[in-house]
Amino acid sequence: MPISLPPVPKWEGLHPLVVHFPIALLIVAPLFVATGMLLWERTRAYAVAALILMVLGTAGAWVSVASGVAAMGLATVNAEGREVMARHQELAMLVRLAFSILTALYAAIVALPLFAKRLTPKVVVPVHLVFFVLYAGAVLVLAAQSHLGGRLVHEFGVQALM
Amino acid sequence: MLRSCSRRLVVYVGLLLSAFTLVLVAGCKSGEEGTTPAEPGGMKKAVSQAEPPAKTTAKENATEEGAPELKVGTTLENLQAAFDGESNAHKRYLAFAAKAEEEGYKQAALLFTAAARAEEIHAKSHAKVIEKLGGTPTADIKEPEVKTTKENLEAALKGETYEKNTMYPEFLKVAKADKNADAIRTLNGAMTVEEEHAALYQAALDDLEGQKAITSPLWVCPVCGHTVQAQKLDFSNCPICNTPADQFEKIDQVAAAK
Ligand SMILES: [Fe+2]
Ligand SMILES: [Fe+2]
Repeated sequence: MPISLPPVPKWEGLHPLVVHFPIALLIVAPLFVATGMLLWERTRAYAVAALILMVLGTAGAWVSVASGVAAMGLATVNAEGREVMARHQELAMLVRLAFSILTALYAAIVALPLFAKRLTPKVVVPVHLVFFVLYAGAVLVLAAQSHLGGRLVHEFGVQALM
Repeated sequence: MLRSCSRRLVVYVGLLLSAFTLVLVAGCKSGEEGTTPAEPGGMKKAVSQAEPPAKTTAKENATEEGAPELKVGTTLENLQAAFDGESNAHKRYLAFAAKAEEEGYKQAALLFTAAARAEEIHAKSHAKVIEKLGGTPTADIKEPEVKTTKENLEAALKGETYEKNTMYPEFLKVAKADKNADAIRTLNGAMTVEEEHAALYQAALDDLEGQKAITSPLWVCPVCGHTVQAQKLDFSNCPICNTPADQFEKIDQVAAAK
């Protein structure tokens, strides 16, 4: 059977194709942040990898929100579904802002050794712990808004333009 | 040494990513072309712009007795019909607003004014898509039949119910099969707003005496016509089209019938 590749999607239909990438990237990133913290004195590779994941995830969040706004006028939903959609959008914008700030913050952490050569675990660990607490909060909002997106599809039958 | 190695690595990764993107785009394009002949009886053929579907009627779907018979054609024809309907509704509601004002139903007069503005916005939105599809928006404007405000509210409710339950859902089916995003957006926005209008007319009918005093202004989204009866808007962006709430038009005066 010949392989039939999908057509190039329209901008209004891109939302379901892009939303899962930032979710995955931003949830995996803290594993690298933690490894980067543990191996801070031996290698900076994990921290840089975490930063790359966060940059890609945050960029994905921006594309997701923009494509979601383009898709919203095409969704046929009842009044309850519209409320869910409004909340989904509101939280998605909060997620975008939160991860933009967190990525900038983590970039600053990764760049710290450029300014202070000798960073002991006494400084590195508490800085990371504060970062983890903030990150956990953002992940909770991400989970909540993703669930609302799932409800729109599976409960309210919203379909993208394919 | 390390620097030249990392430079090479960047070049290799760049080349690899470019090649991957090219293969993906080329693959997707060939996939797109490949699906058309493979689906002779598919949805794409059944409702494409080039080959309009057989004219169908959906009178049996109309929820109100005496609702006009619906002709479903191509997306362009459907948009023309919707443009005609919205243009007439605009004129009709302005006349109803004047009648409500004359009879002392001030709140109902505001409601008709807001709805008239929303219908005007729908007509303009449909017109833009018609022009994009190469057509010229045309409407056969009829002289509205104005009765008492109670009867006018009933007539308006009937019209909106027909549009939200029958006309727009049928037109949307064709636009969705055509994958015409502009048409889907304008038809979908109008359908959603007609549902709001129907609810507002029903509420006005349920409290006809309460319509004699102005209790609240109305707000209309300048892009999709989203109509809200409230002292203040409790959202930052239109829930239908994302237009900022501060751009909404406040309706607190009855418009003069043209
Ligand atoms: Fe309308
Ligand atoms: Fe709107």
